[in-house]
Amino acid sequence: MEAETRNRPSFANIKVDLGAGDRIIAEAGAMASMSSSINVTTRWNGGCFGAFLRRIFGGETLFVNEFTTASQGELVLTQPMPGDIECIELKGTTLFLQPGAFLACEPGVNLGLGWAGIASFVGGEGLFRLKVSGNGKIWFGAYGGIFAKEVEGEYVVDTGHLVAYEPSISIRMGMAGGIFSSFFGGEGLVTRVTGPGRIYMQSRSLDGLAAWTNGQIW
Amino acid sequence: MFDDDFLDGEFEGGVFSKDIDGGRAGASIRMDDLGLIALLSDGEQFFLSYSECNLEIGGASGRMVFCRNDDRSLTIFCEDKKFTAALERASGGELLERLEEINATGRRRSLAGQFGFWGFLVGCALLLVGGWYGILWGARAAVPHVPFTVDQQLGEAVYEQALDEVAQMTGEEKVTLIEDDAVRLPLQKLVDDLAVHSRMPQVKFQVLVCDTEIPNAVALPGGRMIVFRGLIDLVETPEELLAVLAHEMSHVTLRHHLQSIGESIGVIVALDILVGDVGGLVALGAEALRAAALMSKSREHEHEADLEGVRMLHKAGIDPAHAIGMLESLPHGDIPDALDWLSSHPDIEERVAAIRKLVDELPPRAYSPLDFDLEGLRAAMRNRVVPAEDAPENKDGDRKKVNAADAKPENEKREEALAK
Ligand SMILES: [Zn+2]
Repeated sequence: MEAETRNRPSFANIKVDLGAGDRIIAEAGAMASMSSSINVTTRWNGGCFGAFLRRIFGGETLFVNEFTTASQGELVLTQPMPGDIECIELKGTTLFLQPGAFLACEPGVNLGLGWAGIASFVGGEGLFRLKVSGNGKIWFGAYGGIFAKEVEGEYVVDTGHLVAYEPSISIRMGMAGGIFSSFFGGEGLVTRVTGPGRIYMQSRSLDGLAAWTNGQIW
Repeated sequence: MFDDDFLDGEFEGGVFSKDIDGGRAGASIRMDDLGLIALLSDGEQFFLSYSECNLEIGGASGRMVFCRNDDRSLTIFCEDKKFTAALERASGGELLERLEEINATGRRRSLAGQFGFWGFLVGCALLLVGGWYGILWGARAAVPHVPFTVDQQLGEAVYEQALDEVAQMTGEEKVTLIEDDAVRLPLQKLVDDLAVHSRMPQVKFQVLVCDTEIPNAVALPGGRMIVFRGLIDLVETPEELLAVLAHEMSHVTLRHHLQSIGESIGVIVALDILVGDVGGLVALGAEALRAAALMSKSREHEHEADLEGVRMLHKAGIDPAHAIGMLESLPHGDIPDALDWLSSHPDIEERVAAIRKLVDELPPRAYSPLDFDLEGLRAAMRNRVVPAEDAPENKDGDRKKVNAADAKPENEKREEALAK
């Protein structure tokens, strides 16, 4: 299987060349186009009950599609937001994704839902996080560009910008500075991450867009 | 090296090192008496001696243990709960003090995390229960604001389906309605006379009689009622028949069908808010709506219909104790589920108790026997005139008499019906 992320970063999409025996699993609705030689099987995203939990708390779709082919063919996967798509290869490692970020994965990857905690919820990052582990590639999307950062010690990320992080990263919510600068400096709550480990951030935040749009309407 | 050299087996974990492509990999971690060994799936090994090991605790769970060398070029990490205890034994006390601190931190964070999670679960449960009662309450509150013509249209819409379901109860292809005036009119008069005592006296009930052996009666929204031949055969007195009819009429005047539909809509809307793209679930929901329109069967509704029926009988001057007699004479268990008067009532004792309590509370009045010729009705059913089927040439009035119920004595048939 060959996969290439095209039109980066603004309108990224994944072009996958499938050969006989290759499989790729993607969120329902992610397929933009494909060869007629490709077969699609739809199934619950981790059992009926698990799918509902993931839908409600993990921002995922109820169903996932599995793409296979008996010969060969191409497939284009995309995401609803304008923004970049990142591909990570898991080597027995684990990655946490924010609700809604997951796009596609290879069959060796396990999808799970993990409790993220009240602090994460207060910080606008969701009560649960999607846990991807195992061996194989995963693709996740974001709004805007995606940039990675190796964190050693503490690092501050504005809420809504954190897309993915490794389990070795600890997350705390906090204020950007004192009370005054936190609320009048426009930064409010921030996410304090502590390494070692890698985090992935998006260069735009949907909350920011919503706030900006509201500002234009009123 | 042999497995015997390792203490306490293997742990799932990982390694951070610049020597790995990508800087990290999952690893299985073992301990010997000198230090930690991390084995990658590609066979590469990393070693960190206990004397070099700086311990830290952190990670997303708050309980991940990191073993790092001084310049932090190598980190071996593990989240296994038994990891620190194994490390304590394997390192021979070298890391003891730091491990105790780490264990204490881990326990504290674990408690805090569990507290949050259980708090969330309890919150969810409360929301679910609250949401459910909110939907029930909302449906109940909305119904009085919907005009009764909606009930009538609904009844019209489900009429054919209702007949089909009645037919399915007996495995027949089609229900035979007894349209003979000698059968229908006495029942219609019985219902009309009682209707003036209902909470919605303006409702026009329309009685239909079907030639079905099962003792039952079904009310459709809007006022159509289907009385089964089996019910007329089963009752011992006309008052018992009236008690059943009063219960069915109460489903109509209490507008239970509309309430059930409101509840179904509420559930679908709630699912839509919660789950989002319900898509295919909507089709399922439409099916649920139709089922709800046909037969509202919640215990709550049965209970309400019982009590309202009793009130109507009392107002009409008929002894409501007949409703109890009817319920108590029923055979318990093995009652076909689709029947309204008999259905979803494993709690017949409970219903009887509730009715008895209301009967005792009602202001005393003199009851008179119901003036109704039950035997005459049965005779009319037996000797009714049935239009000859599939014989259009006979439409000019050439009808033949059919003995609808065959020659079994009445009491024998009653026993048969009870045995069902
Ligand atoms: Zn009922």
